[in-house]
Amino acid sequence: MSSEAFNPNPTIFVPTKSKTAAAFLRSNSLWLDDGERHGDAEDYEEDSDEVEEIDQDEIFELIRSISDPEHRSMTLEQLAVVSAPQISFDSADAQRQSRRVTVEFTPTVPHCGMSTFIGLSIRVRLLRSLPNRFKVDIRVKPGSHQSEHALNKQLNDKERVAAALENPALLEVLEQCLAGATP
Amino acid sequence: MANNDLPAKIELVAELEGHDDRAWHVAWNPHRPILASCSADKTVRMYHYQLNTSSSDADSSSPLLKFSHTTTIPTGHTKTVRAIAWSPSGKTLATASFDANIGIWAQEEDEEDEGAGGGSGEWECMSLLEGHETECKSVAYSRSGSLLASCSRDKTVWIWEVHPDSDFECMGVLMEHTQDVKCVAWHPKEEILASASYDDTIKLYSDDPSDDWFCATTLSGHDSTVWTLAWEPTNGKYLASGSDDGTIRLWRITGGQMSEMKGECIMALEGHQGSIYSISWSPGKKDEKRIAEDGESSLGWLASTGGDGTVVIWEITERPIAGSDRSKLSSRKIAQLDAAHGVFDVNSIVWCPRPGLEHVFATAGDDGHVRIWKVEWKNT
Repeated sequence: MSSEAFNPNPTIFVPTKSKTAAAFLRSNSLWLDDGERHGDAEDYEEDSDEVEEIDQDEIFELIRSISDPEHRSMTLEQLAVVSAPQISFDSADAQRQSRRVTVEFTPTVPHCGMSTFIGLSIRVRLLRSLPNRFKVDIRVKPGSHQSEHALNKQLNDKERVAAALENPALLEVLEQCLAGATP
Repeated sequence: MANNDLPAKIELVAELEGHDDRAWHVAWNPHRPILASCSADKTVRMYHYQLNTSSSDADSSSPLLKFSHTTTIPTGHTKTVRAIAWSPSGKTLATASFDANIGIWAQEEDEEDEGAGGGSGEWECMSLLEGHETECKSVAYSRSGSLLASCSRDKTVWIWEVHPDSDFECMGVLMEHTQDVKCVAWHPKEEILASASYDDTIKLYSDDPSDDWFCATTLSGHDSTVWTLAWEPTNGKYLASGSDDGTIRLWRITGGQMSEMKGECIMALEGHQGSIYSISWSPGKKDEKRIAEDGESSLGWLASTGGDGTVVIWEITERPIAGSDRSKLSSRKIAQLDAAHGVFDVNSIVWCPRPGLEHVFATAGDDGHVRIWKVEWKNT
């Protein structure tokens, strides 16, 4: 890691308490209230034979506490690098047993040299936590990074990801970030 | 499902478990009944197989082949063994590892074992080829067995001359790609090498009379990483490539060692969702019920697989164009199998090269398993 920070003074966006997609929607929409949401939840539970589907919030819960590699005392959530609305699922395809999840993240600055590492940490957390049927795509938010295409390509090349995880030095920093923010 | 409308079907012959991590690649020995697989667990597993003669042909419930695990080579590679390749003699196996080295393996001489092909003798590392700076991704022997090619994330392709007693001499380091080189594949007849890269291109190499290897042409057209290559097996007039853009492209290759080499994309096959990690081309088996059109000849079967877990078998046919020395290529999907390794990615697909088993192929998946399959034309 270089000694010069890519973003020496990052903006901190949210407090450490959880901010879920539902909360996001509520704060951003006049049309959703708690009553409606509860109704949906009950309908869902009746379907007890169905495998309980993992949602946006649960994926967000897995990645929000990862610490930023440049500012170890802060989480990706606090720096608004990740957020629940940036997680999406492909339209369910009954023919396929697998499910595709796309996790978009926003580097704090467009020249952030740590972006590959941040994307890798998100990928590894999800690889270790989600059932095998989930296929994860990691992308930087369109327009948020000067090397957007190269970053997306690298983060979704399974061979390069596999090789990176066999690099002990890289893996050590990765584990520290995955362990969470250290004040 | 639409797969039922296709003229051939894919049936499981055997399932080989045992790797502790993702299985990356499989390779059939060209002469002996041995199948090898390699994995992120840094080992190579060897299996012996034999035709199942315990029951009559009519009993379709018994599998075609019986497999037994013979040995596991720990390899000593410090990282993933990404790819393996048998020499044409079937006596030597090369391993390409993320630890940047190529291992050369041969079995202890065991006269009694000759012919049985059980592979019971110990596999020993005869040579370690060092030179690449980062992960090796692929390795391949030329048709004659006198040359070995390797490639790496260090963007280079190395050509090694094979000398007696497992001695290798580097004949050239080709620095033509601008990115990671994913795959190398030799022409089935001539000393022409193809390489595929993360830079979205394919390059073809040849050597000039002064023995210097050079890039003869570049094939551009894919929109993303080119993961895999397969030459048309009989004459090498065509090259197939599989890419992260979800397509397989067929290229007509003209020229060669004597004249300027050119490659022209003549077809793109679409049938996968997402990355195509592996393709393999075999002579295939003829469809007896299909009446061939005038002059039409089969170029065999192309098998493909990838991140969607689907296996597709394509039949490629060639028909001469009247009044021209050129010919027209056509393709049809003859069989498809979804979820070949359940929800897991399939990393490798390889046809069996042995006579009588042209319809048998092996796959390796992220579940660490190797599966053996056969393709049969449907009766009705």
